[in-house]
Amino acid sequence: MRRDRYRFLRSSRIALCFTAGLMLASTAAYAQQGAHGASDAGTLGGNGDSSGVGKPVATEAGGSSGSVIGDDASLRPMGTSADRPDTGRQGLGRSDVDRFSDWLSSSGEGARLSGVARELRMLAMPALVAGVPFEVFVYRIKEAVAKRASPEVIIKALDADSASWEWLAGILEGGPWPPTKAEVTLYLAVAAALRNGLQPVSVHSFLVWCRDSGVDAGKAAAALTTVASITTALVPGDGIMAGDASAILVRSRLRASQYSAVAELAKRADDEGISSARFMAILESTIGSGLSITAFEKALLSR
Amino acid sequence: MEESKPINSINSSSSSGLRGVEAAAFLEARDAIGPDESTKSSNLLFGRDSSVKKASADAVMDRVRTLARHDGAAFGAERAFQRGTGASRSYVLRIVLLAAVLAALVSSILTYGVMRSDSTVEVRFVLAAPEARSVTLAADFNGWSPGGYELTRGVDGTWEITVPLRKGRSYAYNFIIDGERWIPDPASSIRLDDGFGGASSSLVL
Repeated sequence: MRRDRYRFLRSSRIALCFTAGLMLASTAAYAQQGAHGASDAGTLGGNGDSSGVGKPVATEAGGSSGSVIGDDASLRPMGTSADRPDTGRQGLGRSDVDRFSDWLSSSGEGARLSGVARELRMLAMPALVAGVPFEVFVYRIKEAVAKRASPEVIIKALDADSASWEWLAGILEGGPWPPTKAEVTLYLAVAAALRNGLQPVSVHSFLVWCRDSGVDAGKAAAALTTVASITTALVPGDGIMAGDASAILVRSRLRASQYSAVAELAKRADDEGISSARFMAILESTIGSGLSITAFEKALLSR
Repeated sequence: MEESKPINSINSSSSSGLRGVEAAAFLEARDAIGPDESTKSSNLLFGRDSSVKKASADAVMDRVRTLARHDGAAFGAERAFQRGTGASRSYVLRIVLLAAVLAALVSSILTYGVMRSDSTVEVRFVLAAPEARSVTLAADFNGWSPGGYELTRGVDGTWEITVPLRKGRSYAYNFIIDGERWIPDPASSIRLDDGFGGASSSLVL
């Protein structure tokens, strides 16, 4: 009887410890996710045969099913670096060169680009040595091959992207920002932003501010992507506006998922003939002051 | 003078109260027969003669056994009650402890599940393309695989698919119509040059 009681007490203690550990892990996971607040998701789509109808409708279904990210077992999911040792970016340049080379040699995409594999390795090497994650090259090459771009087009695009990434690596200086898990997202966003007309000087000032402030790298990437589309809609290549607008979005109380609403309003403003200067001024006085999207829309579209 | 009854003939019908009555009766009887007789009587009970001794011892033991049989039942019942009381208390404590552990465990699992589900959001991609024979979704979250996510056609000619995506990230995507024509999402407000001669839509969660 005493032995049974001892066993019961021991089992209870083990169960209590396991439960406490599970609760602590849950709390830590929740803290890491942060308070995203109310749910918002998107129903995205439009008319593929005409100019498009509809607007993303917020719906959310709980739970998750199926594969979330990526279907290539050899490629780490975008935005994560589960396999990347956290030993500093500069020290990983050599290994990323090898890994990129290995991927080119072993992947289907690399096989299809075997004729330009040497050029790809040559144009990627400076960026990889500078600390650019090799995954960004892989993602872009996969996109290019899937879209059946010609090797010449791929080389030209990757060359421009590689320069952008090497430039970005110089700004980041191998520091702690962005976090390893958000590296790929940021690199791809910066390349897209520069490709779509944002001026390097404006992006540079924004990235330095992000780096020094330690802002959420995901939000920074989303802001750059959003402003790139705004810039295209309003004033192509207006670099000064781009950098300020990105910083306004990141500093604001808006969630990253609300940035697309700002892009939507930029399109409407362009349709209404509103100048980029007015757009920026109202963006700064409303969203930049902590007001909501609704206040921004009202101020922007009211005469 | 009332003759004292031998102990083994005293009628015992259980209960410790009866023992008290018997003891009182014995003492009363002894006192009644006087000190000498009581001594004799005592000698009878506690005599030094071996046979007497044995007889008295047997008598005493018989009496003890008789009393034990009756009181033992009560004592056993009392012991059982006490044991039962302690056992039931311990049992209740065990049940309460087990219930608390289970409740904490279930609560933790549910909380963890809720938080895990909160980190992803299901996004429904919809494209109105009644003339299309097939529509697939290619994006950076599925390695831009042309055959990755096939949309399901509805009766009104709209194609849709629901994909779970992690919050806090931006994603680039395209629709592929009939396996050949890559188009950005017409309803997306963010559309960017992809550098390969086309455009991609961007989704920020």
